[in-house]
Amino acid sequence: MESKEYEIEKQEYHAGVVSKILFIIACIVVLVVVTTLSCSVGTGYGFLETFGILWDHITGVELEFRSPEWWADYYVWNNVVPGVVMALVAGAGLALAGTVMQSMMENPLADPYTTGISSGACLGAVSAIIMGFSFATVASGMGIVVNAFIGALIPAVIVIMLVRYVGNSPSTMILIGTALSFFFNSMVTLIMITADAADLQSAFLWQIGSVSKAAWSDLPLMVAMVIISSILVQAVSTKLNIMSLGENSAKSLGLDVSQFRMLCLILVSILIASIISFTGVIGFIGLVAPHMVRYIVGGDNKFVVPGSILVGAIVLVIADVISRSLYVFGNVPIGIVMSFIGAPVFLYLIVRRKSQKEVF
Amino acid sequence: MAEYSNSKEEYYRLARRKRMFAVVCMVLTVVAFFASLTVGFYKVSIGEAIGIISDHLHGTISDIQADSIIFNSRLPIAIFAIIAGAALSAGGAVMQTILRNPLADPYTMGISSGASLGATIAIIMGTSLWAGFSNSEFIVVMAFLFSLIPVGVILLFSIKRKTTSTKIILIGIAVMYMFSAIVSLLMVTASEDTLSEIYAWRVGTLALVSWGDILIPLVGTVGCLTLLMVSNRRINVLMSGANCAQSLGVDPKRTTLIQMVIISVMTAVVVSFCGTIGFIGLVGPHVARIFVGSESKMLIPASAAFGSVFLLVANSIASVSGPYGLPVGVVSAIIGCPLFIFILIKMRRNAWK
Amino acid sequence: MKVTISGLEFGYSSSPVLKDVNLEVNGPQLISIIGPNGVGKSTLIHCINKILSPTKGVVMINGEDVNGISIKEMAKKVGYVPYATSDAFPLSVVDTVLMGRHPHSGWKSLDHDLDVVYSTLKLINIEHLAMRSFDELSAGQHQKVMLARGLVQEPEVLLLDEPTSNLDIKHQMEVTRILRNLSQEKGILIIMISHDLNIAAKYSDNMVMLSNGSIYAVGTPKEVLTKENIKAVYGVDSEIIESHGRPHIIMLDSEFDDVSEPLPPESFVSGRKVVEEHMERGTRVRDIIEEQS
Repeated sequence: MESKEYEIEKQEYHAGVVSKILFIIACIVVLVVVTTLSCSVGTGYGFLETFGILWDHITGVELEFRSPEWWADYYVWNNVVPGVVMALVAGAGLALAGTVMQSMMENPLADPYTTGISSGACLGAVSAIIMGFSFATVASGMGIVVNAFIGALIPAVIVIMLVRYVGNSPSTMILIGTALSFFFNSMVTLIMITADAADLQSAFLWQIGSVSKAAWSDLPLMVAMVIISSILVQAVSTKLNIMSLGENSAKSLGLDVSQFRMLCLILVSILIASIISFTGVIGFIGLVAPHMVRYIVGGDNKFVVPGSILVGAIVLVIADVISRSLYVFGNVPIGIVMSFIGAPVFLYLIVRRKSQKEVF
Repeated sequence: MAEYSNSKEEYYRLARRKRMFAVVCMVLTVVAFFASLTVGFYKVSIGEAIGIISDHLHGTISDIQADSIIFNSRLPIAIFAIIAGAALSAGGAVMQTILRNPLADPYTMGISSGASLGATIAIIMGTSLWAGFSNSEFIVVMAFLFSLIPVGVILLFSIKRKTTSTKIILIGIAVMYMFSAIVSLLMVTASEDTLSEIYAWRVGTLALVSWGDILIPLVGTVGCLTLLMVSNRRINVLMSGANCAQSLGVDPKRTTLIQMVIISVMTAVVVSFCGTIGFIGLVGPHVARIFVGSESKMLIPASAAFGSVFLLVANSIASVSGPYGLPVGVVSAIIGCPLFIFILIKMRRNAWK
Repeated sequence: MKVTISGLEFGYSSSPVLKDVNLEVNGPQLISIIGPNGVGKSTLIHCINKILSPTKGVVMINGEDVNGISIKEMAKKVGYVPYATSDAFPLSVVDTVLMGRHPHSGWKSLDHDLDVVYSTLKLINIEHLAMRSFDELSAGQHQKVMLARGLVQEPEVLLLDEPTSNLDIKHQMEVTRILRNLSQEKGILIIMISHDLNIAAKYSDNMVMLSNGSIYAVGTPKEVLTKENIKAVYGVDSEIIESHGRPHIIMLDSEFDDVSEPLPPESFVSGRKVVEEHMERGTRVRDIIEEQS
């Protein structure tokens, strides 16, 4: 019987898989802990108390109207939890997008903004804030979001249209994306420099990346997109593995590289647009989270994808904890906290890299 | 050896044609220089402008207002534009060569974020702390000092340990990210007027340049450009990668670091006065490269000459745009961007990835 | 000139690559370094020209420890032609090769340098590429340009990492022959890493066979390329025949020679003539082939 022949090797393989699954379970536990921690910051409730409040709400416990417990639940659930959930979902989505981009572009330094999406979103938002120029006739709050969303998709559409003429390779896409970023950023600069000081500040603060003004109504789109994307990406995770072998090898393994890359681009663009239209441009998490996960579970996207989703969520929620703990000193938006976390991690990743590959 | 005289003639002829590009740019610089004196809200012709200048030099000032505008404002701005354009563009050319990356510019090693940090701190602190310095002098000093910190960090990381040139580049980028984070933090906590001022500084403007701001950038730029030209062969050799460079007698790490320091000083000295004007350092070398190729002996002067023209023209456009004029950084971005995209489209055929 | 290596060891933190390598090479000649993949051939070369620092042992050139020789001085003595070019800048061929003159050039030497460059281009038959841009050339042409750059250094010792891997047969022979002739004409000690055992055997004066990080055999091609050595180092059976005083290796494969399945008649390849005949005559191509054989 052939199945007896490779028993030891198969056992080793399964053991490897089991350890990775354990890692993912550990991440889920950490995520729950960290989320609860974040909900407890600034509310005056301790960790276990907060856990109790959340658990009760989720399990649908009936609370006496206007009792202290009711107030606690109302306060935490309506003021604090939306922001934390937004951080969780955004972190998951950004890290997921980063994982896809790094495989799709065959470049470990790619992040979700490489194709210029962030600059487009900024242009959309800034034109709404400063010039009152808007695609939506709804009240100003939604107007900015809609503008940012459409703005984010413009670079994506341009890239998709241009690759028909100049070819679909990653380096071309990166160059186009860079050029578009430069262009849109200069437009943003032009608008901001001619604005008055108050508008300038609003525009600037929007771009930095924050979850502090989140409300439950902001979440449905983002949550839906992240969940759908996660499922889709996990389903094609083996294809992502094949992509990183290089164009020719991937093709000879039966993958239509150009088409797949295009689909990835479209998915990532919509995913990112649906996140950053609400949060602003939060950097680093898309770049750094996949690397952190790969360091622990290796390069197989079947595990890196769920790992990144969880680690991204964890890291951004931690950033939220820090951001709101520092509130006593002044407003420290989550985007800034993330850059303070992300930059040293990036530096560390570089110093540890043993390979001599040129990464540009 | 007369044997190869034909081939050599061809080579020399090509070299002469390349030099023509730099010469043409220099002629254009002179033209743009005089033209820029006439551009602005105070209308004046070239002849009149020259007359006003010579009057001042002879000590016979007739129209005080005209003299103040032409001699004390437009003239130093035009001279500074030539210096700054040359410094940024030549710095970008050498950066792109030694980093072997077409998207590099003089700010790649963190100079812009360092200078931003220095200027931001200076603007936020205001004049209250430093008695005896005017506000703008303080900004200049702080911007200069802080712009050299990233380079210092890189030197620290690389001198003792065994780091490769690739790592040096990536460390520079990481340092840039960290400084940007600090600057963002400061900007977030600033009041709206302070934020406006900081933002305007970062975009870059020549409007506040006066005679006192000329000497240091001039000396710095001329000195550093000379140093770069002296090492042009070593810079060339770095193009073939670290291993080959070493086998050709050039220590890749040492040369990379030295050139980076020179570029940093040259850029810092200019940027402290005018802010981090973008695109010139990125686009100038690419335009020059189309005409003169990648060889540094030609590329450095050609980039410098083109950079001067570019900044002069951009500044002239900026000073007449909109009701109060625009900062030149915006104009250089708006012109530079399509130019860059055009160059990228041309470039896609090359092996540069 | 003389290259002496004693007690050389090199390894990365986890794994040793070279162990106790001892070698003495004297006088101008063409030497091939051969051995299986990963055995340390490139590493050995990089230790000679100081690109890598050995963890133990000494490399001496003309009796001088290389540790004491500056990079600039090394460049005057030792030339290097890499395996893969990482140059991708739009530089002309002449300018690329001119870089090789860097260790020797001074302020006013451009004219003389150009003479050296052009005569070297002529030597390896690429003078027609002189004004072309380097990044437009084919891989084989890249290699020849790299070789020219190594030669214009006018070194005493020239190290080459698989200089003919991207060339066709004719150019492989041409380049290797030029290298051998140069070694005698210009008095250069040329050390090249080679994967093609037969070409190396045909032209090299001496060979160095590496195995498991150490030197397994040293000597003339006839001495080094024996059935036993090839079996021990490469794990391959062979038969050695002699051609013009040089060994030529014929590979034997006990799992294939005389035992492989012949091709079934349905699998075949036809030239155009047969197919046209078939179309004309309206018969099966197979019948035409059977007719002709």
